Amino acid sequence: MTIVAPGKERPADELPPALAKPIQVAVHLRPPHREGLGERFEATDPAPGADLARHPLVARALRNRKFQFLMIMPNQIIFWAVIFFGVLGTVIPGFNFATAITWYIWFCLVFVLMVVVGRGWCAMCPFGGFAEWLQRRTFWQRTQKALGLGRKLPEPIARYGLLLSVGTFVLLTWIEERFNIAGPGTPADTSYMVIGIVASAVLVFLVFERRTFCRYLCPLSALIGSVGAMGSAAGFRTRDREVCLSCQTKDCMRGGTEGFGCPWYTWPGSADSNLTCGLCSECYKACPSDNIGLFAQKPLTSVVAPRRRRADVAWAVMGLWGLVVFQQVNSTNGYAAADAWLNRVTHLGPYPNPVGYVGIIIVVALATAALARLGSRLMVSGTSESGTSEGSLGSGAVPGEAQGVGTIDGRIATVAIQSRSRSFVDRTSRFRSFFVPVAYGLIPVVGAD
Amino acid sequence: MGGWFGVGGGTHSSLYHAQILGDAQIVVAQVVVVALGLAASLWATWKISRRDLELRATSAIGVRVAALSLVVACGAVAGYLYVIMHAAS
Repeated sequence: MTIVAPGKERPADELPPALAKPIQVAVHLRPPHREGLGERFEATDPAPGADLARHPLVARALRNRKFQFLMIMPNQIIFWAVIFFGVLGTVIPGFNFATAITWYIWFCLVFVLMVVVGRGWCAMCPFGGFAEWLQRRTFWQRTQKALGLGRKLPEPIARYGLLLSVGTFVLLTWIEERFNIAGPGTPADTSYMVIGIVASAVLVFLVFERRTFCRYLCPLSALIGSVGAMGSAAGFRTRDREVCLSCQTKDCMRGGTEGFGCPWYTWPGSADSNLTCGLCSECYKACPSDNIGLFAQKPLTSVVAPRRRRADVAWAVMGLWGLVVFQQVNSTNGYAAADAWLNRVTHLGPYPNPVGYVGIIIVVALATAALARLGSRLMVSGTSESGTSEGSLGSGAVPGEAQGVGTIDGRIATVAIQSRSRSFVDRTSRFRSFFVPVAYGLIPVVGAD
Repeated sequence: MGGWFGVGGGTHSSLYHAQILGDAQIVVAQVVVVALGLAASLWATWKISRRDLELRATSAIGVRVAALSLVVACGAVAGYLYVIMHAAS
């Protein structure tokens, strides 16, 4: 780190002042870095004509604070009915409202929604919606005081991004397979599963701030986030990036008088895919410059075009690929024999043996990654290990460098930091330069599977 | 109302017994869906190769063939597994 403080010279024997958090100070106080914006974002910026919020009726709906409440409420009623009828209704799965709605209708609709709209389901999800109502202590009003501890997810955990969600999805799928919930098994099991998801969401919403559960821990987040990249909803994006860069308040992130700060921790000014836009419209409401629109895009744009490809997305795709292969392999006679043998050896209960279950997922994911590694060895030049901090620093950052103006002992100082990011999501290597883009390319196969 | 929603009663709609596809047709439908996904993946990977992979590739064609081959392998595995799933059931 280099610190250059203009003004009076410091005596040689005096130690330089220490910044409490020099990197964060530099990052937060850096001036907007405007070069390279075209190179970074043009490819993913939707055409102005694709801004659905230009339509007066759409704009009016999005401005309305009841917008998301009205999308969530019907699903809220349905899923409380699922809980009720699953426990109290007939035990015949095919005749029960809970199993019929959950496994025959909802499951299909969610897949269609994610392929067509991206995170459309997240905007109307009753699980996160219910927990958010509790957290905000309101159904739709803009409130300032939240219920709960408002903690941030620790960075050592958050850095793994969608992989956390893959983990919870793998766990939920194992539970579903073990108890044959979607078999469909006993309808009450479907109710207990829904209760478990709602309870988990409420717990996480009351401990952590915003939609930490939805972005990192929801079992469906990785699936919807990655497969949703095929969808035609680009999400809420900035209309004119220059306006965003000169904005002093960043109400879209921090919250304004009309809207909450982005519950998904996304700055519309740096979004280059629909990965983390929950389509909640809070940024649209909060922006004081009316500089945010709801954009449509061509299918697969968020698969093809992102310039900042993320390793957590790539590994999430591998994990989901392993899971769908498991779902196919487990129907074969060979798997049945192997599962029975594993259960005899490990005494870990009936189908599916957790060792075999997790083992197949990991082996398939690693085997596919190994093929990518072979491809990178054969076809990619160099042995670069240079880090890129674009993803973690936001749109203004230069890879490997942060620069800005900070205050030291009341004086303005220029702070320049040479740093090499080693973030799991962002770091690059020869292997990753081949593996990560190809994993994005595999998203449609995984989605179709 | 209880009968409609499965509380104490049952559903006797003919729709419950309706079968849209036969077993063989289900397999065909599954393989067709995977084929559509594979086609979309191939198109996306082709585009991604041109945008991201060729910059650091020792051979532009080679890296594209390598990426597309991996995608084809995954699609073929998925399609094949659907077929043997049917055989198993």
